[in-house]
Order: sequence, then C-alpha cells, then structure tokens
Amino acid sequence: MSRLILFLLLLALSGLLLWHLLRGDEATAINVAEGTPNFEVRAEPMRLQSSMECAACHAEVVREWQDSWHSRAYTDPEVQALSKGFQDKDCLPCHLPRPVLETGLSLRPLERDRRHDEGVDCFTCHFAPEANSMIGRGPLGAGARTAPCQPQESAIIGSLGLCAPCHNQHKVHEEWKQTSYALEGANYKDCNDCHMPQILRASGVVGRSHRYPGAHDTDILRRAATLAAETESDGAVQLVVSNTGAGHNFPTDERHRAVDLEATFVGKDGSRVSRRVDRYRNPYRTEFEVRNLLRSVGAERDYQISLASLGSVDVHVKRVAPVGHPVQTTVAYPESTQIPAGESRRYKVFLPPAVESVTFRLYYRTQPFQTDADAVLLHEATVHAR
Amino acid sequence: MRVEGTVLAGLLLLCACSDPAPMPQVPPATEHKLIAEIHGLTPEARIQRVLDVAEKHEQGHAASLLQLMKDRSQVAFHIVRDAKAPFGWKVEEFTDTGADTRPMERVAAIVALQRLQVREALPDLLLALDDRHPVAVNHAALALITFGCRAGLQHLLAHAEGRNPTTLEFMASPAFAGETADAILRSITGEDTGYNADAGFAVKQEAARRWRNIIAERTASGRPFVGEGKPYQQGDDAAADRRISFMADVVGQMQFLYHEQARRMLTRLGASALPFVREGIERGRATKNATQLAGLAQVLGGIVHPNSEALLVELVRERHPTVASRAAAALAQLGTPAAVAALKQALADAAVRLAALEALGQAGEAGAAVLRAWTSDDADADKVRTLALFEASAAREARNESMALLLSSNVADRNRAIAVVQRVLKTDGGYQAMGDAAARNAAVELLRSRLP
Repeated sequence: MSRLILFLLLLALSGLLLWHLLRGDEATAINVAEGTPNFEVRAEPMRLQSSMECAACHAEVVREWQDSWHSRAYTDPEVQALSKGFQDKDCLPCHLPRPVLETGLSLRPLERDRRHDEGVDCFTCHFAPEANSMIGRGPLGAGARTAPCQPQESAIIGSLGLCAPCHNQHKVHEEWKQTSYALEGANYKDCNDCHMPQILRASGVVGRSHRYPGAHDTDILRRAATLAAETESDGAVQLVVSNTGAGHNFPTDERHRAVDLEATFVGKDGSRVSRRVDRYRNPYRTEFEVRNLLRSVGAERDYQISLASLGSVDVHVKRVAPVGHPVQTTVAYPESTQIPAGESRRYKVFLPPAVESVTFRLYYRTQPFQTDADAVLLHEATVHAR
Repeated sequence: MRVEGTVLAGLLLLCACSDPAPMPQVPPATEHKLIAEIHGLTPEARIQRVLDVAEKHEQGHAASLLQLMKDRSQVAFHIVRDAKAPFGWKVEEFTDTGADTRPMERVAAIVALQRLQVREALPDLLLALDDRHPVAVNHAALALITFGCRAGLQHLLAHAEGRNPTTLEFMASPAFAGETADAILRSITGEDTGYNADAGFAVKQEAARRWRNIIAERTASGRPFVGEGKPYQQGDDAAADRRISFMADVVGQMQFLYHEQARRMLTRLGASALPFVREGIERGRATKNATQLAGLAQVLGGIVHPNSEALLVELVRERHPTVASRAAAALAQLGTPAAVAALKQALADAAVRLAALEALGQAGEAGAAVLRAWTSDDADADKVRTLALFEASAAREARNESMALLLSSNVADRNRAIAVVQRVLKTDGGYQAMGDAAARNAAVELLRSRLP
C-alpha cells in the first residue's frame, strides 16, 4: 500500500516538476522583461544617445536601417497623415518606441519624446536598460571590450518577443503560430527568415539584413501571393488567388493594408470596363458594414458584377483549404477577408457574351484608399473568352 | 513513511513556490440561462423577455444582461469570467461584428440592468456611451445617473443638439436620438424646454441651449437629479469593485485598443475611480508594469480632484521617462499651483523635461513665469519652451519663433508647433505639417494674421 502511495506521490511530483519546467519559458520572459538575470550589469551608464552613433562601428548595418521603413516609422508621410501628425498619441509607442526590454519582451513598448527622425531605432531592440548595455546576437568583435555601447551577447536578439510588441498588436504572431512554419523542424521559419534574411555584406561579414523587407518591398510582396487564371471548357474563367508565400495572413499586419483583385473586361466592340472582383483586408473597427461572407474553409458564395453595356458577370467563389498548413482555428477578426497562410480563393467567373477578354490584376495597397497608380501591381493574368 | 513524508513536504513546498500570489476571491461562474432561453426567438420576443426580467425583478441574469448589452462599437474586448485570473476576469477579443441587427435588444438589456440596479454593470455602462446607436447611449446615460454617475450628461446634450458625441464617424437616426435624449433630460430634471425633434434647426438649437443651461446650473448647485443615486464608492459592491479593479489592470495589457477603452472607462467614472487607480498604480509598481503606470497617469489627467493631483505629483517623479512624461501632461490638464510646482521641479530631469515644458505652456501665467526664468543648453527643450511660452502667454510672447517652427525642416517640430498654435488660436488655418512648402507658407501667413 505504502509503495502505491509512494508511486502516486512520485507521479504527482514528476507532473508538478514537469509543469514547473514548462512554465520556465514564461518565467524567463518575465525575468528578461525585468532585465536582470540574463545580462551582466555594467557599472557605467551606456553613453550612446543616438542610433547614428552606432555607425562608428556598424556603418553597413546603420545604412541598411536608414534604408528601412523602421527608420521612417515616424517621418513617413503616410503614417503622418493617418495619425493626423501623431495627434493620435496611441500610435506613438510603436512608431517612436523606447527599448522593448524596458517594458518587456512581447509587451507593447512605450513612446519616447526625442529623435523622431530615427523612428524604430537601434535601441528599440538592442538596448538592455537594466544592464547599461547594448546586446547583440554575437559573436562580439575584437573591439567590443572598449566599445562605448558596452556590448554583450544575448540570444534575445532574434527572438520573436522583440517583433511581437508592435507587430502582434493585430495578431500577426497569432496567425503565424497556426502555420506549419511555427512547428519545430526542417520547415521552421519565423519573422527573421523573410524579414531579416541573412546577407553577405560588402565587408565580408554575414549578418541579418536590417532593411526589414516587408510591405514596401515589391519582391517580397510578389512572393507572398499567386494569381492564376485560365478559361475552362465550359467557357467560364477559373481564377485562383493563393497565399503561397506569407507565413501569416495576406495582406498582413494592420488594418490599413488592402489587396484588391481587379478586372478589366474588354468587349468585342473594343470597350473596356474595370471592376473590383474582391478585396482582401481586415476592416477598421468602425467599418461595421464590411462583412466576411466566407467565414470558414469550404464556404462559397455567388455574386454578380454589372459591366453596364457589356452585360453582367456572375461570380462563384470558394474558400479553399490551406496547402502545407493546418486550417486556422483561432480567428481573431471574423470580418477579415485576408487570406490565411496556404489558403486560396477559387473563383469561377462567367463572362457575358459581349466580353472578348479579361485581365485580372492583384494590387497591394498600403492603405485602402490608395489609387492604382500608387499601389503595387503584384500579378496580372489575361484570359480570352472561348 | 519517512520517504512519503519527505515527498509530501516537497510537494507542498513546490506548490507553495509555484504559486506565490494568493488569488483574490473569484466570483462563481454565472450561467447564461437567459441567453439560452431567448435563443431562436423573434427579435420582438427576445426584447420582451429581457424587459420581463426587469419587470418581474428576476435575479441571477446579470451575466446574460451584460453580454446582451455589448457591441463592438463600445469595446474591442469582452470581459470574460476566468476563475484563475486576478479579479476573476480576463479580456477576449470582441468577435460579434457586422451590421447592427439588435440595437433595441441592447437598449432593453441596459434598461433591465438599470431597473435591477446591477452595479456590476457600471464599467460596461460607461463604455456603452460609445455605442453606435444613440438610443443605447441615451439609456446608458440614464442608467448611469441612477448609479450616481453623470458621465453621460454631455452625450444627452450632444444628441439634443444633433451632434454625435461618440468616437464613431456616423450616427443613426439623429431625430430619434434627440427625442429620446429630450425625454430622458425631462425625466431627470423635471423640466421641459419645449424641445421638438421634428422642429427646425434653430428651434431645436434654442431648446438644446436651454438644456445646456439647466444642466450647468444643476451641476453648479450640486442639486441631485430625479432618481439620481449616490456616487459609487469602493466597497459598495464586491462584483463592481472587482470589475473596476480589473479595468485598472487592462490599461497595462498588450492591446492598445484595450488600453484606450479601459482608460476612457476609468476617466468617465471620475472621482469614484480614484481608489481603484491608486491600487492599480501600486500593482503596476509591484509588477514593474510601466505601461499600466503610464496609462493610469493619463486617466488621472481627466479626473479633476485633489487626490488625482497628489497621485500625479508622485508619478511625475517615476523613474520611467514615459510614465513621468505622461504624468506631466496629465498635470497640465489639472493646472493647479501644486501641478505647476511639480512641473517646475521636473525640468531638472532631461528625461521628462520636454513633457514638463509643454505642460507648463498650458498652465497660463503661472507656467509662463517659470518658462521665462528657465534656460538650458538642451536644443530640443529650447524649441518646446518657445512654443510653451507662446501658449502660456496667450500668444503675446515668442510669436515669431513659434511661427518659424511651423516652417521647420523637421516634421516633429512642425507637429509640435501646429498642436500648440491650434490650441491657442482655435484654428489650424488649413496648415498641414506634411503639405508642400508653398501651402505651409500660405497657412502660416493666415495664422499670423489671426495672432492677437
């Protein structure tokens, strides 16, 4: 009997120990947020005041950052317009942040009130305030010992907890966590793989790009999605828009982004009519009338688009299950029409007799009111009526 | 047995180490019986059943009523029961979105919460003042009066005037909004201004003006409204206490929309929120949650009360620059002599200096006196001081330098300058900080012509 009790107690103890160990990550994150245990605390305050001072030792990296949208996070005219010159102060913490480690990994930073032209600066990710030290992935170079930034190595650099404070405000990390990229193994990919790719710098040093290609980088945008169109035997046009490259919803991040599927129909009489076929975006919170009619994988709907004198187009669209990724089960925003990783929207477009051909275009807009001229044309495909 | 005893002791020790913080008392899980009961009924039958709850004084439906009164226009989040969480609640994303198909059901739920005097609903009613439907806003304002909170009076007046007081860009049925606002104003004042929602604009405006005067007179005299309850005090209701306390923690959580709404709720609660804010500050300090401290500093700026001032004078000395800066900005909103003294002291700290200077600019002549005497070799601070002096002296001093900042090559300078100029001149003259140079010059010329 006592052996049984002992066994049960040991089992319970093991369970508790396991639980305690599993909680370790959380505990570490909290400790890191408080900023002491993982760092050696330097006695002297760190003397750097501006990201520009970092260029003395890291000129190439600073040049990359200057070319990035992180550095323009405050000065970008579009952001200025959308935030009304930052009179909306709730925008400041992510566009003019203090160091993430000051508030804690994965927690939203707080705003600073100087060096506006540096936007998301070096200190945001690299400064450990409690340690009076800048941190880097390492290995540290020969000059580190005497460098004014008092550097030390830390695995925190490269951790997603540095991106999440701002980029998870709209659940990008939550979306990524539901993809197969988030699973440990050969297919694992995180933010850094696409947005901080490894590069060989002119100096011969291999490092991670500080240009952060993303919404303003045409190449990465084009890799995120595909557009395929063909005329089927019944005369209808089959059109497929897929998120084949993004490890999160497409378009991603916040509610200003929009991707439009547009079509220009050319009549047999030579007339042209352009119409929007669909829009992929997460609506603003006050856009109550924007509905996502394809709430779950497998959902379908029919609608009609009027082409005036050319007649009207019947459209059938189906939300197709993801390829290579599990079906996302946690939906943060039900009205979002963004395309989750691996998913497709398959359209069947029935052209009226008066239409000779149609050209589909996929436009990426950094904000939903952007004109076609300012938007990025990602892909286009032309098909002819049979 | 000795082994078992050791293991047991180890287990107990481990349990003790794993969970050091004792959780506050957790409310029992409430079943949503009412929601289940009305599921599938016609809209009219659902509304009638909700009103019956109030009519028959049926107890035990608070959780259902709270859920029924919610809408995405009020909040980005739900408050969800969670036995493991501090205060017994956690936040979850609000997912009930789309076209508004049940505004009158929300109104019925608000009416029921008012009649049953469910004080736990206080935070939710304060957020319902942002509801997309004006009738829901009006009824929330009335319910709040019965709970001793006057936060909705301005919303009633705005609806009577035909304005939209919410943060939303549209308003449904303005005539209906004015009519219900007028009915509620009549019921709580016992007076009649002859308001007629169908009358012409000028007639309505005149009646609305009379309402504004009546409310101002009543507020100044301290005379209670008909049916007005006593202002909420911490300890009046355990469930309400936990819910308000929880909101003082939400300002320190991840999502910025949550922060914004929790801050708004606490500010609207006014002086009644102060004990909860003070405790929230203590928790924020204990957990080193600077976000919570910064958010609560903002809340205090909106509550004109000696206790707010005392808490802000403490917060402006916080080590975290953003916490101190937001406290400085909040002190500007209070503008008392003690606030000016604290701001003057804060000038010595470079980390909070800019916010302190800006705040002194809003403190009138007392601020101007400090600003005139202050000098430094801090270039950023010098520009902020210029603008602050311009504001504090009502545009009599530092005029040219301030106008020049509107033409600065630095967008941050331009943003700061136009914010101040707009506060002083009550117009931006069409100035756009990101506009081209010619347009900016033209706007600055116009603004110069408006200088006193």
